[in-house]
Formats: sequence, C-alpha cells, structure tokens
Amino acid sequence: MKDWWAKLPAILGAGQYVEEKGNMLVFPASTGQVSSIVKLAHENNAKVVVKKSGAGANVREPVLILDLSKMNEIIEVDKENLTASVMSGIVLSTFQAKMKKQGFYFPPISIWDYTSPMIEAIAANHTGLNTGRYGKWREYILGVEAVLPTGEVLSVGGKNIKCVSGLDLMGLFIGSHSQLGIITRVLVRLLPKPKARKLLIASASSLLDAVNATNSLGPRGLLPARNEVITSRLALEMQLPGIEKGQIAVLTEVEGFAESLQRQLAEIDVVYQKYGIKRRQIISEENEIEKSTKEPSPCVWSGYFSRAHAYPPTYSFTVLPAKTQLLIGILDKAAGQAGISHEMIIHCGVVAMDVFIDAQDLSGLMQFEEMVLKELRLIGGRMAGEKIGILSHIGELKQLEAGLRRLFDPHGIMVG
Amino acid sequence: MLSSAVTAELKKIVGTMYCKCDENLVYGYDATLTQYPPDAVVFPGSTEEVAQVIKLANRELIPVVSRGAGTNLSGGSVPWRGGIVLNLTRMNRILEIDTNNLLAVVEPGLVNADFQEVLAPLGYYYPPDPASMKVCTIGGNVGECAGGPRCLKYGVTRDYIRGLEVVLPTGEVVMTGSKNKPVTDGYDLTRLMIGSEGILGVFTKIIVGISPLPAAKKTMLCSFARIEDATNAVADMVGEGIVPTTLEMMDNLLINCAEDHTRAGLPRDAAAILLIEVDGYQEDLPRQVETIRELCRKNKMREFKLATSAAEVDQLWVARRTVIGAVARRRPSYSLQDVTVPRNKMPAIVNKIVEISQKYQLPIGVLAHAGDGNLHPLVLFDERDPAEVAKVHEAEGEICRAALELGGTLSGEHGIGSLKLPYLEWEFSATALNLMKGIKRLFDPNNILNPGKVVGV
Repeated sequence: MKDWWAKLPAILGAGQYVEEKGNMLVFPASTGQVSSIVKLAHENNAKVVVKKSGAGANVREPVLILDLSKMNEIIEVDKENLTASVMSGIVLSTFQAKMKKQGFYFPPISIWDYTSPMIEAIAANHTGLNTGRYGKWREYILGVEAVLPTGEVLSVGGKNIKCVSGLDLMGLFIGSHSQLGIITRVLVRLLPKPKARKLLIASASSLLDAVNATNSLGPRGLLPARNEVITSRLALEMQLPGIEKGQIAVLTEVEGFAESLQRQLAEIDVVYQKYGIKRRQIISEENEIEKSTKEPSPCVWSGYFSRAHAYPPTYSFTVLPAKTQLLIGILDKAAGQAGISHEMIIHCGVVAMDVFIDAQDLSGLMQFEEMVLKELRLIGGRMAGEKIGILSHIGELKQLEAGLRRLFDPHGIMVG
Repeated sequence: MLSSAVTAELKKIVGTMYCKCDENLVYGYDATLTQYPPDAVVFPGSTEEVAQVIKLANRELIPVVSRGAGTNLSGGSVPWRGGIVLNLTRMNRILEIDTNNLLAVVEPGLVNADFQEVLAPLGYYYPPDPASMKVCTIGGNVGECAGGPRCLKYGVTRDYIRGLEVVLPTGEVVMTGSKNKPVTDGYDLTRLMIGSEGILGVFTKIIVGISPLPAAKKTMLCSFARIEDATNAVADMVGEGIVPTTLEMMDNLLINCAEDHTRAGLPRDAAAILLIEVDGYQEDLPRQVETIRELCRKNKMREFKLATSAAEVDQLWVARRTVIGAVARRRPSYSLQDVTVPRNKMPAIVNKIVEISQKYQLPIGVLAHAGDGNLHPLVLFDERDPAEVAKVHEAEGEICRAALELGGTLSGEHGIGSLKLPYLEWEFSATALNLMKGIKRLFDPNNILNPGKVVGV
C-alpha cells in the first residue's frame, strides 16, 4: 500500500475505493473528486489509468485505476440548441436510447464499446456504424471538461456549432487515450431523429461482389446511414433474417425523410442485382430494426452487437473503398498460407475492416500478421494505431507527440 | 530589412522572378484595416521550395507569414513584424480527384471556387463555401477553418480535411492524417493544424473529402417585421427536424444597403429577411418547403417567396452575395465581426448589438448564418476619422464580450489573428492559454511562423 492512498477516503468517502491486486480502484462521482485524486497522484508521481471495460492495467508498478461508472448523469438536454451535456461515464447505448426517446439522434455510436462508458469511445475516437455517413466523434463534441494530469480542470468549447478561437485543444483530447487528460464531462451535438428508416438485408455468395456493390453506392450519390458486409460464419451466428449458412450478409440501412426512402432502396437494389446480391428482407419498423420482436431470433442490430461483442476483433484495418478488394485478397492469401481461418465485418463507406481470427496457433497468427502488414502498406492501407510515411517523418511526428505529452503531463503519470 | 545574403539565398531557392523585395505593400494587408509591409515576398512552386525557405528563415530567425488570397478578417495574414511573406498562390494545382473514394488532393493556393468549377461537371462538390470563395484559397480556408452558408448542414472545413502535408517551422516535412477517412494513429495533429492560422506549420498538400452534388434544392426568401420572429422561425425549423443547407439572415440596415445596390425588390421596411435553402432528394423537398412556410407563418412572416427557376434563385441570392460591398454606399469603411452564440441566444445578441450601435453612434448591420448562431456584425465608419476608428474598436470589443457572456465564442470562422488577441483571455482560462502557448513553443521553438498571432507567442 502506498502512503498517500490513505488520503483517498477524505476525497471519495467510505466504500468508494478498493485495493485490487496491488492496484487501487476508485469510483469518483464528480469532476472535483477526479481532480483531487489526480492531483494527489501527480504530487506522488503515481501512475493513473482510466478503467476500460474488461481490461486490466498493463503496468508493473501499482496503479490508480479510475472507474467513472458513477459519473453517468445526463446533466442537460437543450432542445433549442440541440445539445446535451453528459458525464463521460454514461454508457453509450443508454445515452443513445434516452436521446431517441426524446426525439433526438446521436450518431457517433461505436461498435466495440457500445455498452461501455462514453469516455472509452471518445478516448479512442472509435469508428462506428454511422461513421461513413455522419462522421466521427470530433464532429459531435462541442465542449469538454477535462482533468489534466496535474489535477487542474480545463473547460473548453460551448454550445456553438462553429468555433475557431485559439488552438483546438478539444481535438487533442479526443482520441488521445486519456494520455493528455481525463474527460469528465462532454457537451455533445444532437441531431433531430430521422423521420423514417428502412433496412435492406441482402445476401451474397461472393465477398468481393458484396464489397464492390456497397462501395459503388457513394459515387452514385447513395449514402446509406449504415452499410455493413459480414462474412458467412459471423452472419449465421448473428441470426440475421433470411441469411442462410454459407451466405455473406449485407446490411444496408437508409434513413431520413420518408418520401425518398423507398426510391433510395429501389436504386440500391438495382445496383445490388448487378453484382448478384439478393434482397432477402426489407424492414421498416424501428423496433424490428433495433430489437428483437421475434424471439429467439434477435433482430437486427441487437443481434449484430451481441455477436460482435463476443468476437473482439483481432485486427482493424482501414483502406480506401476502391482498395477493399485488394485487401480482401491479401487477407485470404495470408490466412491460407498461415493455415488459419478468419471472419470479417467490413464497415463500408469508411472503409474500416475488423478481422476476427480463431487464434489457436500463435505462430500462424504471427505469420499472418507479417504477411498482411507488408502488403497492406503497398496498397496505402493501415492498421489501427499505425503511422505511415517515411521513417524520418514518423520520427518527427512522434517527437511532437512526445512533446505534447510532456506539456500536458509533466510527471508522466497517465497510462494510456 | 533582410540582408543581401538572405535575399540572394531566397532568390536562389524560388528563382529571381518569384522573390520580390520592394513594392510589397499589397502583401502587407488583408481584409482588415491593418497594414505592415513585408521585407520580402516569395512565391514558392513546390513543397521542397517551401521547406528550403522555412529552413533559411529558421536559421536566420526571420518571421514567415504564409498567405493565400489575403481575404483574412482578423489580421492573421498581415506581417506585423516584417519578414518574409510566403505567398502560396503559385501552388494551386489539383493533384488528384478520386471520385471512387470521394476525395481530392490539392495544393494550398487553389482558389475555392476554381475547385468547385472543376468538381461540378463530375457531379461532385467540396462543401465549405466561404463568402469569399471566388478568390480565397483552400490553404487559407484550412488555416482559418473557414465555414460558409452551407455549413449548418454540411459542417466546416475541419470536417472535410482528411490529411495534410505540412512543412514544420524547422523545415521538416511531415504528413498528418491520410486519404483514409477514419484514422486513429495518435494525437489528432491534423485537427490541431486546422484553424491554427499558420503558426504551427505551412500546408503544402491538402487531402479533402468531396461529396456528390445534391439531387435537388429549393430556395426561399422570407421577411419578418421583428428580428425575434425570424430567429424563432429558425429555431422551429431545426426543432422540426429540418436542417436547411442555408439559413442566412440580414437586418433592416443591410436589406436597404443591398436594395440600394441591386434593386432586387427586397422589402425595405422589413426588420429581417431569411434566405433559406434546402437540398436533398427531389421528393423530400416539397414537404420541407411547406413545413418551412408554415413555421414562418406561425412566426408572423410578412412575405414568402419560393424561387421557381435558376434565374429566380440567383435573384434571391444576389442581395446576400453583394451586401458586404453594398455598404460602401453608406460609409466608406466597414469592419466585419465574426462572433458566434448558441442558436437560442440570437435575439439577445442582436438586441445587444443594437444597444452598442446606439451607444457609439455607429451604424451596425447584422448579417448572420442564423442556423448556427454565427453573426457578422458590419460596423460602418470612416477610417479617415481616428476618433471614429477608436469607437469602432471599442464597439467591437463590446460585441465580443457580449457574445462571450451569452455562452458564445470570439470567432466562428475567421480566427483570432492579431485583432482578437486582446480578448482571448476573456474566453479561455490561464491554464488553457498556457497550454496553447506551450504547443506553439513546442512546434516552433524559434517562433518564426506568424509570430504573435492566435495565441500571442
């Protein structure tokens, strides 16, 4: 036990901290408490990490783990300005559901942390189902309150859609994995809930046909809200309506004003037919699109999320839409040579590709990774978190990032 | 004053005809009242030349101000400490248009409207559309994070920049972001660069997102007897789930200036007009137009015009497009402000501007992107009268303070430059300002790039 841990009860109150495997897990309830705890850690040069769902701290020395799950309040929904002020510990799916009930829409829903606190998705600037059409987190965050690694509280932004005043500190926090500060409160931009939705469930026998079909929609001016291609084994496990064994699933959802949706889907269907993609079902009822109405088959996105969560991706890659076909070829070849099987979810339009591998054989996995990365770079793709470019340029960027980290966190206490 | 050795080296880098050391006053001002002549103006033609000029300046500790068309409205492109103006207008090529991947790669000196003209026949466009788009450059747009009438629906420049090739103040060239849309490869240095007004680096290549042109659009003009009625109508439209492409508002003073100039038939006695445009799928628009008409009626509109032809659309837009120049009929000079407030604070800030106008006996017209709360109060005066100029500065300070008191920000799309530096501490805490200054010092230890601007280092 560290001496300074004895000061935690005075900050948090009884029962809001627990020593766990040599680390101290704390449950702050306010920005003020986070600030006091981080200040204490800063003064004692102690490592701090924000708790992620299902993840332990990957550091050797004892670490202070901040669990923000008690900071889950929606502080304000401003109907006139279409904004909401929330504490960052709120679970993403809970927030989305509450906003929908009030007639609002909050697009940047991530996939892998849909049931995790919002801070996780912001810290990683995660891609979501809606990214292709609606953009990423930065476009929806108007303001943040963050506790800096010194314990100081910083507030930037406001209920202004446009702001170009000073340097964009807010943008630095988003995607920084809490290395530059802990976001405790977020002011987000809401959209009016779309008037209508239609989900097309289609099947394909060829993955290449499926991605070529979906990638051809954007240049034709067709911009689905969600457009996912799922390989056959995963698709079957998701129990998607009309998708049978061995079929690749294509989930294409349009939303907006009711008048044009039928025509949009008809145009999409025509494009899909050219590529041999078969329409299986069109669902127009929101509760059928969102949730199960036909037990035991979960319908449709809830099934997607529940199965997707059972398979945290082994790799995430991004390429340009036009290069998707090449990447699929690279993955197939590498998997074949390494003797491993893989499944994929392709978030079309962005294009981000999550690859899932049943890794029984670690040597096979290493061989697969080596082969994929080598060829991925040749087609201008990248793996999540990877920098690309000439080595000296990457070195320069890394120096700048290290400098930023020192500027925000002079004692180097934040473990990201 | 640069030494002859430095001048010779500059000429060697860019060529004699692209380095000018006299008669440079034209590169010493922007769209504000400030003027400071540079010691030299260079017109590089490539990233390599930019890098060499920056390396030279860094070695000799000479200030460098990068510049596009100089339409800046905050003094950001004025070389107030002399030095080298890096004019990027020769680097105006479109390097790539990739419609399959909805992106383009352009050089910073490309004029926004020229880019749009190339994209349109292909069925695409680049959404940011600042009012100065006929002359302003994409590089300048990135430096200022420019907006425009369309950004209520489509977002600002920040939302369309995927990556940047940047020459850092040391002369090193780096690439931030990439052509891929989602990139999570570290801190978001691309976002940090956008809107940094040339104090952290010089952009030499810009990867932008492009979009297919909307299938259809409808343009409307609606007049109101009270400004509050117009702003309430705006709030109702957004609340109804309609996000117009454009929601431009002009007050009575500007309506009359525009009408004097254009004779477009604007209602001279209206307190405000709203220029409204919706776009999207053809079949979605009639109901939106009807909803908008109903909401305007509910908020006591006086007249409602729906353009039924391209000529009528142009006629409705002509007043908005020409109004800034048209104010010259009233007073010889104007100063354009750029504050933003939460949308529901529009009536309050407009009332405050009326008070300030009366207090200082200065005519102030209000032009606003009403949907996003971004106002451009136009203060009309005579710059030959020093007493009046002093009053203008005081009035502008009061407008900025009023916006901040209403939860707004100092700048929506024009930046801080040098003119708004005195107000920066009204908006940001000392902690925030120290971090911003720390970032500037980290990137530019010798403080050569646009020194003194944006964060005051």
